[in-house]
Amino acid sequence: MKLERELMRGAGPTAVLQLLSTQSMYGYQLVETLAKQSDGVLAMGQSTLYPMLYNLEAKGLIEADWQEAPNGRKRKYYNLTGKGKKKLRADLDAWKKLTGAMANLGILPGNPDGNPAGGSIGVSA
Amino acid sequence: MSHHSDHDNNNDSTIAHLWHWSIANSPLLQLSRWMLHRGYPNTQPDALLDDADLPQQLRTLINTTVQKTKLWKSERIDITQELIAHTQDALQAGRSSDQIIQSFGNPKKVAKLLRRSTKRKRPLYWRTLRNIRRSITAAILLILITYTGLAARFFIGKPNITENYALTINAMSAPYTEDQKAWPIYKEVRDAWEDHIHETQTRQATFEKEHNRNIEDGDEAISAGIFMFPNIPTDHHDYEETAQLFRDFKPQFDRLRQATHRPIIGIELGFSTDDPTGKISMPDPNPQLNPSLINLLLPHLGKLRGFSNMLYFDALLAAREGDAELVYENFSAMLAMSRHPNHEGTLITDLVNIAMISSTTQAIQQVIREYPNTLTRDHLVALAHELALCRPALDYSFQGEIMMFDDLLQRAYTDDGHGNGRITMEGMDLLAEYAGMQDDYFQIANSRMRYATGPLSLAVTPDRKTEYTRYHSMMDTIQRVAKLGPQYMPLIKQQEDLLAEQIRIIPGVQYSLVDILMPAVGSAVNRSFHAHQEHDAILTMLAIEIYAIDHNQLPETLEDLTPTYLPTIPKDLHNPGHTLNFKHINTRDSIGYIIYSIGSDAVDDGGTNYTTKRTYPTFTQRFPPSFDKDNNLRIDQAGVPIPAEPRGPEGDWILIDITRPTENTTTQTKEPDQSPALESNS
Repeated sequence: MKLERELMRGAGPTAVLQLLSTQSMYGYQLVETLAKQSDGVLAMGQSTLYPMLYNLEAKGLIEADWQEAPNGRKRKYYNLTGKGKKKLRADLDAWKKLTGAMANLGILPGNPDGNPAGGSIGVSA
Repeated sequence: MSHHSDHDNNNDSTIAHLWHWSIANSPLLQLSRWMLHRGYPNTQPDALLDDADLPQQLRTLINTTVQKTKLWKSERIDITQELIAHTQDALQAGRSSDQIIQSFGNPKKVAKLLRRSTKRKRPLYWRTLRNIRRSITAAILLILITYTGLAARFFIGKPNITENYALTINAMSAPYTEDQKAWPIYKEVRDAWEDHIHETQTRQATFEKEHNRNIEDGDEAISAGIFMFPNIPTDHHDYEETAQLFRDFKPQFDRLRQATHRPIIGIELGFSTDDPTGKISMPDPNPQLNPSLINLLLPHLGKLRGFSNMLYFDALLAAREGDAELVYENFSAMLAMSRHPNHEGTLITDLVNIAMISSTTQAIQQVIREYPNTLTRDHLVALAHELALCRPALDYSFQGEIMMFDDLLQRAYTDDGHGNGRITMEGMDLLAEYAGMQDDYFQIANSRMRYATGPLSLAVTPDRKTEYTRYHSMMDTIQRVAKLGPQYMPLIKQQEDLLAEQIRIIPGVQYSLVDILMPAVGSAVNRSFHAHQEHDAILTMLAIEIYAIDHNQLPETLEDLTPTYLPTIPKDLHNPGHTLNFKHINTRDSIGYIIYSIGSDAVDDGGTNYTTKRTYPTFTQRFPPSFDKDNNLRIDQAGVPIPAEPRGPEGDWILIDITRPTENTTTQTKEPDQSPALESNS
């Protein structure tokens, strides 16, 4: 299942920031992890991923550096910056409120106390 | 010692560290590195793809995409490296080339997204320059769009000339019959006079020229008498010959004097042609074929002034020869003729009218002073009545002046049918012509510059309605002030300041017809009040003279004249709330009386004339505007402007001077018009 473009535009960056909050990752790794952990909902190609990463980098939310992998190949690894962490926290709050509101409206299953009842990306703080 | 040494080493190390850090981080070095990296990286994107050993399809895909980004070389290398790594990871994970290509998306679209996002990572200075560049481009575009819009409006707009003002002016004579028109007689007399004096004039002029060419140092140059009337000194070498010319011309002068009493001048006015013989083109029924009304010729004005001077001299001649009836007839004719310039109601004709009345009042005063008892009581009464009737002609109607402006508006502006419109190319030409810059302007008139700058005039030139309102508002103020009195003159100054504020947005550039054509109204109204005051004074003088005949003595005060000889005592226009001053003169040298105004210094100096020669007593000096702290004109509760301190010169304005030498003095008879006030008003 693919998300609508507008939804993807809102959810994609948060998802990427969330993944990078756990460890540094390179492009392909991010694509694979997103697809796997979101059951394909947040699957994205290079045309979406790299412009998104460059935008996050331009905003100072992530930073990149080239590292050599064990197999000798060079890969560009992305890390979350301090600013990125703050942004992620703010985004997660917003998502919580949104999913809570959706649950209250009966659009999403779950309780109205805040914990989102679903979603493929683990958007817990 | 070693402690010191360690300390010194540490210090050296810290300084060296700071030194290296400052070098490594110097903005100049960083910029140089960045520029080198940006423009001349060692690695090429193609070389990276060669080394990556990817299937040809994928290699082409990455290469095409990266090329389409049109980014800097360093950025393309970075993206190429990343896409290669991504593709290699995908291949290693078991994805086929087709799967990778499918998930990649449209290269053109991907390139666009990569380009946009990569540019956001560029340095601050680059983004600043880009924004400046974009702003400039946007501004240029805005200017171009605005200019194009203005150009379209400007070049489409054409004046709509519908009113034929020249015919309107000439039609004023239509209800009159030929024998009610003075101009045909004036013209005949003028032509006859020119023939009559031709030989004498030529001889006197030649003598003058020869004499002045051969004069020794210290000798005075002479003037031919024929060019000096009305005031040819009686001892002038040409006096008798010139006087004889006048005597011999009496039958024609009689015709002239009779013609002056005709109701209208009845001249049909036209426009100048370039014909060297002085041919005139009459107004065409189609107003579009006529020049601007402002070009209407007023050839009669100069001729009327000439006639007035001739009658003046003829009156003096008659007075010297004791012909009282002829003296009166000349004065009566001068007054009657003063109505004739008023045919068109322009400022210039009003001023000529004023000048002719002023000339007449001087002539009357001169005859009363120098040739006492010449005019009979009946003559004086008749002149007083005729003079009183001339007064309304001094009021400003500006009918023709307003027509001239309205005519220019219809020739310069488009007409939206509701009194508004915008400036046209024809209007720009008129602006240039009347601003006196036609030489400069028409140098570029046929060039592209004229067409390029034309539309810009739309942006700075007021619209038709604004111009109309400004002009008429000023004219209303003038007419109002002319009626109310000179103490209201600051209202004109206020209006002029307001106009200047509204119009001259760009200093030194005149792009408003009002700005260019608004006459010097302040001085014109000032002149009008002068004429009023002179007119009041001469009427008072005539009343005094009639009183003196009846009582065989001068009145003690002006109050003695009312109401039998004068309905009311005239006001001193320099002294609101007060009347003109009358003073008996009885000294060892002279006897008589003077009538004076306290003048523009607002101080009664007891009838002492202005000490400064040729000082023109002006009402603007007497009633200068005063302003409050917000720069608003100060006006009292009755609506009268509160004047600032008077700025006029010391002394009084002697309006009438009927003083004669006493028998025990050897003072010669005064030369006429030697009083500075009178001289300056001639």
